[in-house]
Amino acid sequence: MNRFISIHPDRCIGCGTCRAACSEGHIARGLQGEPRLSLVQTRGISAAVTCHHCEGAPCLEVCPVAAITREDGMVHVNEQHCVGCKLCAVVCPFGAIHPAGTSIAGVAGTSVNTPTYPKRLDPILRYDIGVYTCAVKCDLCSGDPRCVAACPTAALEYVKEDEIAGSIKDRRIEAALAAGDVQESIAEIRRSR
Amino acid sequence: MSVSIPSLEDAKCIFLFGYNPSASHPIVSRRIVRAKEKGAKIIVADPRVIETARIADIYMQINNGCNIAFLNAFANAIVTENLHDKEFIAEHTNGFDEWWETIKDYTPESVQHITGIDPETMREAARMYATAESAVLGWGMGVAQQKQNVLTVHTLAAIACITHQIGKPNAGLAPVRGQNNVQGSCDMGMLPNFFPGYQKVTDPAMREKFAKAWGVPVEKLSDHEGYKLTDVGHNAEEGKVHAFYNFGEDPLQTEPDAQDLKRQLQGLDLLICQDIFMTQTCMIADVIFPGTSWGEHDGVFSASDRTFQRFTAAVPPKGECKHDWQIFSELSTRMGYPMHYEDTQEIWDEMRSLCPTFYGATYEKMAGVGHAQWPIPTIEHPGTPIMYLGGKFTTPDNRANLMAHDWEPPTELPDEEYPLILCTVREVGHYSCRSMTGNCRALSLLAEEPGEIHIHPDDAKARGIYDGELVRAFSRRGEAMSRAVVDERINKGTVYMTYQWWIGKCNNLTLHAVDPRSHTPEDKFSACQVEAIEDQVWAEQHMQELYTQLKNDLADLASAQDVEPTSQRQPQETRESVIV
Amino acid sequence: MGGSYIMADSGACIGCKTCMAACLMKHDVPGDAAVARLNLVTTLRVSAPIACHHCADAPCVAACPTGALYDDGTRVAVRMERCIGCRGCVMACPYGAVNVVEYRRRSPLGDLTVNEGVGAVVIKCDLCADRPGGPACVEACPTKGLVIVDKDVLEASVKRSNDTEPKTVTAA
Repeated sequence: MNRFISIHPDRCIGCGTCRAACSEGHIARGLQGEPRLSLVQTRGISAAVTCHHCEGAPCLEVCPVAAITREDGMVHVNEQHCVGCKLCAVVCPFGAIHPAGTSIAGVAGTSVNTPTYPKRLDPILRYDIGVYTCAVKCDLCSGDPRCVAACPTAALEYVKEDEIAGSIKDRRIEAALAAGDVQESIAEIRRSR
Repeated sequence: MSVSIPSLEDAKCIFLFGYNPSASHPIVSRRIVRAKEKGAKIIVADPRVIETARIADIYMQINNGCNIAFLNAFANAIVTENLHDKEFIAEHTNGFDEWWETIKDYTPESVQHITGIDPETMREAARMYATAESAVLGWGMGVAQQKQNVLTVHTLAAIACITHQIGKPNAGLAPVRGQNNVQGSCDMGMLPNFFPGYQKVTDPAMREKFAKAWGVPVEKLSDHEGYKLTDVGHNAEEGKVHAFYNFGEDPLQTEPDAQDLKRQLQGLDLLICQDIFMTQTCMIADVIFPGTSWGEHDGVFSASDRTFQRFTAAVPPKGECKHDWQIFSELSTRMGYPMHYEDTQEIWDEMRSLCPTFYGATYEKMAGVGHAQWPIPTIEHPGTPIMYLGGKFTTPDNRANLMAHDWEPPTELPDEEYPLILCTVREVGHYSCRSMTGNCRALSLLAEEPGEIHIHPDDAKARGIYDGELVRAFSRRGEAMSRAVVDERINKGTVYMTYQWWIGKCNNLTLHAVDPRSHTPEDKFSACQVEAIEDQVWAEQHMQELYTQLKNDLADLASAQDVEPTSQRQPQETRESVIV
Repeated sequence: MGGSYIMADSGACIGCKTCMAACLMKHDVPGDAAVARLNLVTTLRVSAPIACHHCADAPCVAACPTGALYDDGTRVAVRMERCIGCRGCVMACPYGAVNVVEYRRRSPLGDLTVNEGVGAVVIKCDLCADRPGGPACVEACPTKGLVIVDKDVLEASVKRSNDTEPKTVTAA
């Protein structure tokens, strides 16, 4: 079973607080500050898009240096082992991998950010001089996801094994009760055969 | 607002007109999400598919600038279907017949070419609002920052009155204020026509009262209304204003036609700026008074719903910074009117004693997470979450006056040279002029210079503009570089920019036209054009250069405040960290 | 467009799970997963197996990022090899009719295990499209309590209601 963050789009107000909380939380632990969830807004929906920690995760399959491992229902990127090949970012069907690195602006007296490509270039294709890019991915904050706590409308939910199982059971029970409601019609159909 | 923000959750119907709570007030947006989950009906009229439109029961994508035409037709639909509350109108309002004389000529069909809304949808919305058990009508800058601001507000109020969606629980009007603490500023009389507590300067009895309380001859107090912020620029140019004491504002960032305003302010004899961070306006000031921030002083905020809440200092001030009230007191003393207060409570109690509406709002009531919601005339009074209960309005005869007006188009319409409408809106993360939030790393990560210009896919395609590219936006007044977001949520023919960006400054383009009565600027409607930039890498570098230069200039000016090293040496601060 | 799906007459269901066993056995072949695609639910008053409704506008198909679940015109079909185990379908299905199971994968080279890992596979009713007799569960049910509901059956049922009752039926 996998654990992951799930979103209730009707509660999302597109504020981005989840991304800010994610970023700050990881910077505090010496990890990359790139937010590990995206905010997608189309005409009909606003929703955070997160890593699903897939049980048959393609990112894990494809990593050439085994920087991506699966432990305890969760898919984890070791940012130190990652070589920045970006294959995982290419293969993830959710776009949940965000290649990022630490800018050299501010290092050794270089205080100016000097862009060398248009920002509209896809993150997978970007290359900054001197920047060591690695794969950045949701790590469920070691069990206490900051984005979930930060969301002002409680639109994000941390889904764990027992919750999924419980939810499936509830739905099947609902369906069974519904079957009970239409029992007579079904009985009619059986008799007509 | 006449309702309280928590009561939004329990309204049975919420109608948002030209207001985007998710960007402007996420906490209000949360209330609306909860209201919806409790079964409320949501109606949204907005040119963009705002977040609340996605959960609305009826969403109307209105054309920019149609406000009074839309609302008159909305009112017309209510009356022609007999959904108005005749009893309430007869007992608690004045002027219905005359009001109807104007409204009767506006039908949803007759204004469809202005509003862009299918008449049946508008009628459906009118029914939904009028027949709801309790309905709240909310609006924001979509109403205020337009040419017919005050007239539109009259129309909105009339709609609530004729349907009896006011003067009862969980119903009423919810205009939301733009800033914290603009409600407080108004409550305390930082207005050119009011003393604290909305008492008119033109009222001789009020002048007498304040003159006596303050120990000054009554002739010293102005007996006529003064200038508003948007008057300062051209009045300075015309020689009517020679000095400007600018307190906690960055007009060169937030006011329309920024380049022209800069020229006008530079012509002043004296410009004083009192602020906590170096801003573009502070840069041209003659004198800068460094104030303290919300974390460094005590005070009282007013929420949009008239709720006073106390806040206390978390850290002491640094360096030369003084509390605003200390600066005012010291300046006043040096100017010949001695002023001294021990603490903010002393100031508050003096103010309370002169403002009958606020009298019951004591510091004790507001201690901790307490609050006091005015009108709160006595110490025993519990405060007033919902105003006008029972249909008792605050006019001399306690009745509401219904006022109707004809629609007029906005001042600068798009034409061949400038075919797009420019509408300025808010960022969700950064706040206003960004002097504070620009320093916050997490917020800068989510949104940075030059800011975004939202453009409809058709308009972008016609100009060869791709999502994420830097583009040049320009108008008759000036230009700015911005980053294009190709957005299917907005209406074709209009572009939207947020006003927080120094390099991507939309106010280089906006027009200095104002509502004739409130003098609020027409930020929501001016004409512009947008074009693609060929060399994107050059554009990115140029933008960074401009931004770095501005940050360095601000830091250089601010560094004059850095104290000489002493035995209590502070760690050496680099330039970047002053602004970081 | 929706095709057919399997529904239970809860009045005929005796909760014996023979349908689940038949389904499991039908899928117990190499390259498939030996897991039942329908699940028996028993409440105080109702017993019925819950199966996929092969929805016309299936949320599981919409949620699947790799096309492991897809609409083939007659039903919501499954391409198990495409599943990455993200569980979007599990979350999306309002009936709880889709599940994902893990299995241990080995890449052997003789006696050596060259690679080992966890794979995932989606478990959902495929209407036994490749089975000569049709759905295994329908055939196996001892009380003949499972019905294949399709457009013709629904139309006939509506017509019968129209004939026997005053006209109160609205369009489906």
